[in-house]
Amino acid sequence: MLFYSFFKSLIGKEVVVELKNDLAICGTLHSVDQYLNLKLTEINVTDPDKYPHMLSVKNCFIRGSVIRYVQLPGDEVDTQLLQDATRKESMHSKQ
Amino acid sequence: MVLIRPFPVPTEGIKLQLAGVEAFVDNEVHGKGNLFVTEANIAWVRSDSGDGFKIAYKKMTLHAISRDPGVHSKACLYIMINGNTLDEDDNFEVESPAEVEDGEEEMTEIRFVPEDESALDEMYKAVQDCSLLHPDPSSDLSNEDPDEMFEGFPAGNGDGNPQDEIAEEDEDFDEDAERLEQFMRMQLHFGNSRNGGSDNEDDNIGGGSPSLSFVPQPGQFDDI
Repeated sequence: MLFYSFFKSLIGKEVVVELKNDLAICGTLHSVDQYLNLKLTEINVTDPDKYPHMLSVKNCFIRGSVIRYVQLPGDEVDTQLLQDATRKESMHSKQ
Repeated sequence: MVLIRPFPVPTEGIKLQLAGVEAFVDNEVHGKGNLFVTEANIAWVRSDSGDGFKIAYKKMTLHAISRDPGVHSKACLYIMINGNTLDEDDNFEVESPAEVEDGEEEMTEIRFVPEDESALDEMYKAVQDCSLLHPDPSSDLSNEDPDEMFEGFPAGNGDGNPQDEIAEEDEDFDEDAERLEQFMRMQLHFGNSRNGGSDNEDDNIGGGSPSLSFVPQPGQFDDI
């Protein structure tokens, strides 16, 4: 649940979500759930020629399982803290 | 390629049923029919011929409402499908290994255009709610091998391997983790109170609570 909480802390921030089908969507993170499904608002696609329909879309719901990467706003993330927390989570799950 | 064939009208677990919905599959018009958003899948059945198709929630990449008159003359529910079949059972067209190596995965775009634009929000919400009943098996992080989570990452900031570092920094690291947890809780708290005023369920996926309210009981929603 660490990443769920983590993404919750990024709500309202701008992120770029890269999907496994190579589509990259830039938008404001609106909400997230325990499956890391993401809802974005004010979206833009980086490759509108390939996905013309996405031009007309402002908000979308993305299934967590199709996400490859999420580019985070660097200024908003305490990387040291996050690194430590992921280690702790990993330690816990090993016990 | 999407197979349109005689399709039985769904009868179970119907969350939303809407008549007079026009379906487009990759820009190909399929006429008007009944749209069924059910707990098992999304089905569309042509009113005149009884032909139709269904979409498995697990095949969906994303869904959205499109209202830009410059792109489509009428507002629609847009669904992006992973691959060129809509259902997990539809394995008549098996992806060849060459395609997978290419990294260029196929996708299918479906659009549902209701007669009355005001139905779109309800359609979107129904698809979202039912989609939550079908999480990807691998999305449960607790089942993952923790070692796997570190694969591909550089070995931390220090020279040693990450395991050594953890042992050395254990005390600091507990403190920091505590701080992060507090921070997260704070964020969660603010997040909830911010949305809490409107009490609009649509603002929060899964009702905005971290509880697993949408997780079905084993077998409860098994596809027939």
